[in-house]
Formats: sequence, C-alpha cells, structure tokens
Amino acid sequence: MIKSVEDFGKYIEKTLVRSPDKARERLVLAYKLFGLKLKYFPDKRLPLAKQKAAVYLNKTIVDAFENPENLALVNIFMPCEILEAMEIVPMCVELLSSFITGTWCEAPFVEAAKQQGISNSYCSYHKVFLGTAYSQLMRPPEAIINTSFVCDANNITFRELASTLDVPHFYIDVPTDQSEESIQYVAGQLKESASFLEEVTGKTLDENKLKATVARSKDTIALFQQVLEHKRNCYLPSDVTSELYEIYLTHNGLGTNMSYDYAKTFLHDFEGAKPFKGIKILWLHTIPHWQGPLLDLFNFNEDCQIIASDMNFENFVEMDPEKPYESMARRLVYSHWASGKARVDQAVSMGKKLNVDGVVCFCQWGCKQTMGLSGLFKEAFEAEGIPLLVLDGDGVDKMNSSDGQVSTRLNAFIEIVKSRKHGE
Amino acid sequence: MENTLYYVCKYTPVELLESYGYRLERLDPDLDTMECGESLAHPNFCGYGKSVLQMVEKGQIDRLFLVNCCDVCRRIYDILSVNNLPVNILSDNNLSDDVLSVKKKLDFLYLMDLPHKNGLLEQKQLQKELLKLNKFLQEKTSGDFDQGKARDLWREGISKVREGRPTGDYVVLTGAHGNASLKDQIERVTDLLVWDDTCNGNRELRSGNGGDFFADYSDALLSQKSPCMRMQFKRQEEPKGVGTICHTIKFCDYYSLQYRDLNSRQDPVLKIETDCTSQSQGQIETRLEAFAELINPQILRKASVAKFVAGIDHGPSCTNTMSLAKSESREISYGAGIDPGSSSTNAVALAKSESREIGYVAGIDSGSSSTNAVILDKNKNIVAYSVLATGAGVERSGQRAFEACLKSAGLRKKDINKIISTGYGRNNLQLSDSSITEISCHAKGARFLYPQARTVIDIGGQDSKVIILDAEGNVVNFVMNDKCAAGTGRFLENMSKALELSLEEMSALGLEWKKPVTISSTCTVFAESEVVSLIANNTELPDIINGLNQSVASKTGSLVRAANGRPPYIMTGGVSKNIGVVKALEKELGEKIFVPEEAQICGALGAALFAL
Repeated sequence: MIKSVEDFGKYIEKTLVRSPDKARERLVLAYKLFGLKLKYFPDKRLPLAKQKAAVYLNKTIVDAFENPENLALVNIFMPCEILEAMEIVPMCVELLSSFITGTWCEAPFVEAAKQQGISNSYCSYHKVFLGTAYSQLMRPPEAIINTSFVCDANNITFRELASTLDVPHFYIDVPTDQSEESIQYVAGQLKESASFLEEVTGKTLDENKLKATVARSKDTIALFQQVLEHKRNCYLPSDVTSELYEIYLTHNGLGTNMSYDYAKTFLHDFEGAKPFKGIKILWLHTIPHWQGPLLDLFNFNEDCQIIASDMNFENFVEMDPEKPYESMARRLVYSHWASGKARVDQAVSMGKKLNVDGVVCFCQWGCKQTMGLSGLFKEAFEAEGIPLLVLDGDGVDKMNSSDGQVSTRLNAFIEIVKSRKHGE
Repeated sequence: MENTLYYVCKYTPVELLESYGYRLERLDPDLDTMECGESLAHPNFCGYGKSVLQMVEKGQIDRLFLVNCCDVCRRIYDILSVNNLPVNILSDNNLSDDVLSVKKKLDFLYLMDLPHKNGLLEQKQLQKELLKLNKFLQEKTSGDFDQGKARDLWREGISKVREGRPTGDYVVLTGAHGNASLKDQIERVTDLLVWDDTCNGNRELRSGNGGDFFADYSDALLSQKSPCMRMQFKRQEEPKGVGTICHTIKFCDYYSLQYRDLNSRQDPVLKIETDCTSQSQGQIETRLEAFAELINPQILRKASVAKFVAGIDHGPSCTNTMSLAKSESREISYGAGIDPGSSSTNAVALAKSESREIGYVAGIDSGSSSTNAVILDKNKNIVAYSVLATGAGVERSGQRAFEACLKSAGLRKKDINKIISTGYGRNNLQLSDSSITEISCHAKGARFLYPQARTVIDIGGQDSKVIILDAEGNVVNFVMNDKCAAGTGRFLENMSKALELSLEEMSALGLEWKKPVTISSTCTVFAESEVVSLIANNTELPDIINGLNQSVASKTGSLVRAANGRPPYIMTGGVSKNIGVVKALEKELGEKIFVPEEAQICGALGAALFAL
C-alpha cells in the first residue's frame, strides 16, 4: 500500500476523535481530488469501462457524503430503480465500507461499533457502516430502505441505523419460496416503499420514469450477459478493485445511466481483445481489495485473473418494464442467491460456462451465508474437476486477516491450478 | 423416540405438527465436540448450528423442522438437504434404492419460511406457508387435517406454558438459545428459578379467535409477545426478574445489541457467551457465581455460613459450638432484610471469632498462572503473603502457597481460623473452608487498597475483568473477556515465548520502543504468527513489545467501555506489573491508573478480608 494513503488514514483517525465534521470534510476532499485524478489521469492500463467505473463510483461516494438530504442508505440487494426515478442517491453498506478501508481508516469505525456492543464476529462491512454513523462521520440521510435479502446483518444494521440517526426506515421482507405469489408479495412492498419515499422526501414518483428506469435495467442486464460470454475467451487487463465496483453496478446501480454505460463500454472494450491463455479464477462473494498479496497476484496479470465474482450475475432474470414492481421483485425472488442449492448450482454452471481453472470461495468474516456453503461449493466444484480454495479473510477490517496467511494459501492454490492446467 | 420431531424456533407451528401425530421437542444440543458440524459447515459457524449438524450426522435425530429464522438455520437446511436427502427431497429426485439407503439420514426435514414483519401482508404470507406445510403433512402421513384436535392442542399449549413459568423471584435468561444444562447451571449457581426468554423460549401464543384456522393461527404465531431479534417489530413486554442473563453464542450476532439495551436498565444484567458445548460451562461458572453474589445476597451469606462453620470445624473439640454456630448462622443467613456485607453480619462473625480468640485468617487465590496466599490478622494487617506458579496441580500449588505464607508469618495451620479460596481453582482446594468468586474478592481487595476506586481492572492469566464499584465499594457491574485469551496474561506469556524473553525482560524492553508497530490481530494464535513475521522483517524487539502492549490495552479499553467504567481506576493482577501495558492503558483511557504494590495478591487479600 502506498504510504501516503496509510498516513492519510491515520490522519483521518486522529481528526475523527476531535471533529467528525472536519474528518468528513477532509475525507470528501481527498475523494474529490482522487476523482479528478481518475478523470484526467486515469489508469490507462485498464480498459475504458473500468476507468469509467472508478470515476462513477468515486462520484457516488462524494455525492452521498455531500448531499445527505438526497441520500438513502440501502443494502446491496435493494433494487434502486425507484430511487433513481426519484433522483435520490443510494448508498450501500459494501460500497461505503470498501471506500473507507481503501482509505486505510476503518479501524476507528470498527472500534466505534465495538463500543456500542456490536459483536466481534459481525460482518465487517456492516460493522464499519454502523461505525460511521456512531462516530458521526455519516450524517443522517433522508431515508433508510433495505431488504431482508440476503443476510441476517440486514435485520440488524438498518434498524440500528434508523434508531441511531433517527431516520425513517422501510423494510422489505423477501420470502425464500420462488413463486409468482412471492413476487406479488414483494412487489406489494416495493409499491409501499415508493409511497414511503414520496412521503418522506416530498417528491413524487413518475411511474413512466420508473418504467424507463426498469427498461434500462433490463437492457443493462442483457449487456452484462454478453460481457460474460466474452469473459470466457478474451483477455482484458483488470484489477481487483474493478471487480468490486462491478458488484455495485450490477445491483444498486441497475437502472442508472452509469451502469448502462459501463456495460456498453465493457462490451465495446472486448472488440479486438486477445484470447485469454492464463489462469481464470471465479471468485465467490466479496473481494478484499485492500490485501497486498491479492493485488500482487491478480492486478494486470495476464497469466492469472479473477474473471468474475458470483455476486455479479446472481440477479440476471427476465424483466418486463411495463410491470416495474414485479420486475424488481423477480430479481429478488428468483435470484440465484435465494437458496443455497440455487447459489451452488449457478456458480458451478457459470464456472463451467466460463471455463474457469479454479475457484476461490472467500469466507468473509462474519458471513454465515457463504461460510455455511463453503463445504457444498467445494464438493460441487471438485465433482466437476474444478479445484476450489476456501479462503477465510476480511474485505474491510485488516485486523481480521493476515497478509502472510492469505499469500501462502492463495499462491499455493494458484501453483496447484497451474500445474493441473499444464498437466492437461 | 418414536415419532419425535425436533424443532429449533419458537415460530414453529408446533400445534399443527402435533395434530398429525408427531411428538414435538425443542432441539437442545449439549455436545462435547462438533467436528462433523465444523467439517460440514465452517469452523466459524455458530455452535448451535454445528451441534444440529453433528446430531444429524451421528444419527441422534431423524426428524427436523427448521424455520428460516437465521442464516445458520438456512444453511443447515441447505447442507442437510444435499448431504442427507430426506424422504421428501429424495422422492423428488427419483434416486435408486441403493443411493437411498446410503444417503438417507433424516426421515423428515422441512424448512418453513417466516416473514420478518407482522402486518396483514405478512400474516397472509405465513398463512400461505402454513397451508403449504399442511399439504405436505397430509401427503407425508396420509392423514387429514383435524381442526378440532389442532385447536385443543393450541389451548393445552397455552396452559402448559403458563403453568411452567416460575413464580416469585426468578432470573431471566434471554438472548440466544440456551440448553437445559445452562439453565440447570444458572439455577444451581443463583439458587433461583430461570424464566427462559431466549430466542426459542417463552413461546406463548394468544388464544384462538375462531374462524379460519390458518388465518387465526398465523396471526397468533406472528403476534407472540416476545419476538426474537430477527423480527422487525418490538417486544411487547420484558419479563422482569431479579436479574437478567443475556446469552450470546459465539458467531451469532443478534443478541449483542439486546445486551446493550438491557444494560442501560437499572436491574443487574450479565452477558455470557458460550459456544454451546458443555465445556463452555466451566468458562462461565465464575461469571455466574459473581452474578449470583450480586443478585442474590443470600448466596454470599451462605458462603459466609459455610466458611464460619468450617472455620469452627478446625478446632478439635468444637462439635457443640459447630452445631450452635450452624443454627445461629442459618438464622442470620436467611433472616429478612440483612445485607450480608453489612456491619451486623460482620459483627456476628467477629463476635464469634473473638469468642474463640480468632487471630488470623487466610485467603488463597488459585489463578491459572499463579497461586497467591495472604494471611491477615484480626486488624486487617497483612501478616504475610506468597506468590507461586500454579503449575499442573491446583490442590498442590494451593497447599504450597499457603504453607509458604505460614512459614513466612511464623504461624502454624491451627493458628488460622478461616481460609477462603478464590480464583479458577477455588472449588478444588480441600484446605479452604469456602470459596467466593474472584469478582467479589478483587472488588473487596481493591477497595481495601484504594478506597476511592470506582473501577477495578484486573488482567490475570486467563481472564481480564473490569469491575465497577459504587461509592460504598459494592459491585454494581462487571464485564469479563470472552473465551479467547487475547488481551490476557496468557497472551503476553505466549508472546514472550515467541520472542524468547522472560516476562520481566519483556516488561523492561517494551519501554524502549521508538517506532509504533500495530499488531493487527487480537487473536492469540494469529498474533503469534504476526510477531514471527515482524521478527523475520527485523523489526526491533521493543517496538514489537510495544505493539503487543497496545493490543492488550486496546482490548482492555473495550472492556472498560463495555462496563461503563469510570475513574478512579485501580489495576490488579499479574499483568499490572508490566509497566508498558499500564502506560498503554492509561493512554487508551486518558486517565491515570493506580497500581498498588500488592496488585498481584489483590484477589487473595479480598478473600482473606471476607474471612474476617
């Protein structure tokens, strides 16, 4: 890690104790300056789509901090077309916590959460997110809206945030049963959530705008599906952070111009891309984008690359823009993450489709969803002759992970995958 | 048992399932090991989940009803439905008989979906789920739904729950599931009955309203007064006992905030964390005993009776006195309105002592690292003390520490009229007359050494504890570290081995640090590997030691905050001898910490003071 980033993180930590407002100002200033750098001096090694993603996501964070009066806190699985149509910026747990840890200043927020009694084993993405509220770095947003899907942390974090920040909260219950009745149940709640947002913000939802937004989601998903086809055979330079950005763009970002533009540009980038000859890794779950050994191994490495995360194609379902609420509900109810079996089956099927050489199942600290499936993932992939590494770690809290241990496990695994590939 | 169907959640439609002839029993795992559960899921899965998997894998249960109440229950279902392929799933997969005989471990596995809210939409959603279950049960049992029977069972269930509730004084057990052994342990230690208000306890449905059974029943299930923490609506009432124990399970995250909210109330609250194994009972015994001393004054009084009687028992010709003392003491112990810590009790004890010309008392603190003994005279003067390594045998080291102390004081055993033990080995010292937890003893000792103290920070070999005192020196709250040894003396001891230094050398060297080093992991095992990496990177030893001291200070600082600690602070226990840790902790708390010369013997001193 660049020392200046580490030093800046320490500066934010110290400033936060004296003045959360000043810490926020400095943090936003840093993100703005970094945004200018990304815009005018982008990392030319990356394809254009990924350069754009960095700019878009940076802007989202700046907007979230600067305009809390136009902000809704959400979870990553919350369909955000209603917010987009009402011109409200969504900010999700994973994005904010990833930026915080990327700025090397997550420690005081982890500590703030701990002081409030949040358990040590709680998901660190949620821990840091809560910590920003407890330490007043985050100002109260206009609304909080989240789904029960997909993990338990959604049941704790958002209720706690609503109470801590004294902000109106809407909760969408998503059943596990995959049926049309479940879609109607969720669609009904999404409709209620629109009324809730109208009441809280004083804005009016234009149903036609919502339909157009859902139509854009549908088009974006179609583009992402084509992108996946290219990933099987073609190589484009990448870095770990870009894969993380894509999680936002395939979820909360759906329906926005930026997600659509990203997917379209990505597809364009693949034109003329050379064939992929290296090791292709399918990553399961979030990615610790701060971890040195991971960056050393995967960033701009033609011989070895993470080509997809199973978070980035779990919700590719058919949508009908004329039925916007049902379409958003379908993405939740028929998500491949709705049940363990569906998640494993889809990951295996995608692994085969993308012809991956190996799979890393990343057990994020505190995530029972993924760690509980790690055994089933391993059994299922190995039955198909695809090696899988179960890697414990933390995408946010550096206290919970050791570079040395991750490096040994990951590099040993890649050595195995390489020798298998060469043996074939 | 024949036809027993195990369930895990209070939202289970028990009455509906029973109406089809199943005998419903709440699954109450109490295992020593859960290696199957770990390998099927993940080591960081909660102990309850691992236990359920273990029990199925070992063939201890063959029918299981799950509710998607948490991530772990969902994953239990996922794992079992793939690995065990129960009948209802097998029939869908058209598997051969050979595969069936190998794979089949469960005769019944079902996962019911449960909404998180309690509005009309959600009640309808649950009603739909119940109808789906009813259809499944009809097919599975080839029976018909008997509404009359289901309603009778519903009525009977309500009466049974109400009759089973404790009356009079009771302690509330809330939080995550606690098994029967835990409840027994609490009842034994506190001498009070337990009201089970855990996530799958306190299941009381309202009475039926008639009309459509499934609509009525889904409303009753969802409207339970004491919803678990995954529900997005508030509890309607909190049972009010003389104290509340909030149980959390390692890697279950729902109940830590409930503890925070409970802790803001006035009545005593204790947080305990277990991993659902029977071994964890030993870990929490001290916490429970200390809590019992806090909520049930008669506990301390009983200890006082026992030690008084036993104290007299030392004399060779005191049989009559003993029986007299017993009866008198009982009278005092159970007499209404007498505070065990009040002067009247001491006056009685003192009067008895004086009548028998008691000269000296002793306290022995049998800790995990050291065993310490203190002898006091009747004027509370420390006559002698000793500090010895505990080693492998609690009894032997206790005996040795006591004898060393006697020798140093120039006394014989018969000169000592009462011996009270404390610390981890307190109940295994034959030579002691009675035992009191180290919480009460450290509080008493610290108060004696530093009367203005309001917060006692004790870092011992195995435990760190923070004890909050009121202006009179009574314990009002305490918090201890979790099962992990990080932040304790054991942590520093392990690290000193990794650094090939003695603890004394480590303490001195740590003060010479120049460059800050962060030991990122608070886990003892991980930290050791980090220390090894730092050594490999030629990091200076004082800097590494300072990083370790900071790590202990940070962990302890969190405990102080969790206990709502406030100055003046006093630090006791072996780690207080490490100046680097004390300095780091002072910085962490922003306050000076008083470290008495007798810091290491504070627990033994407190025990001896109790013996007076």
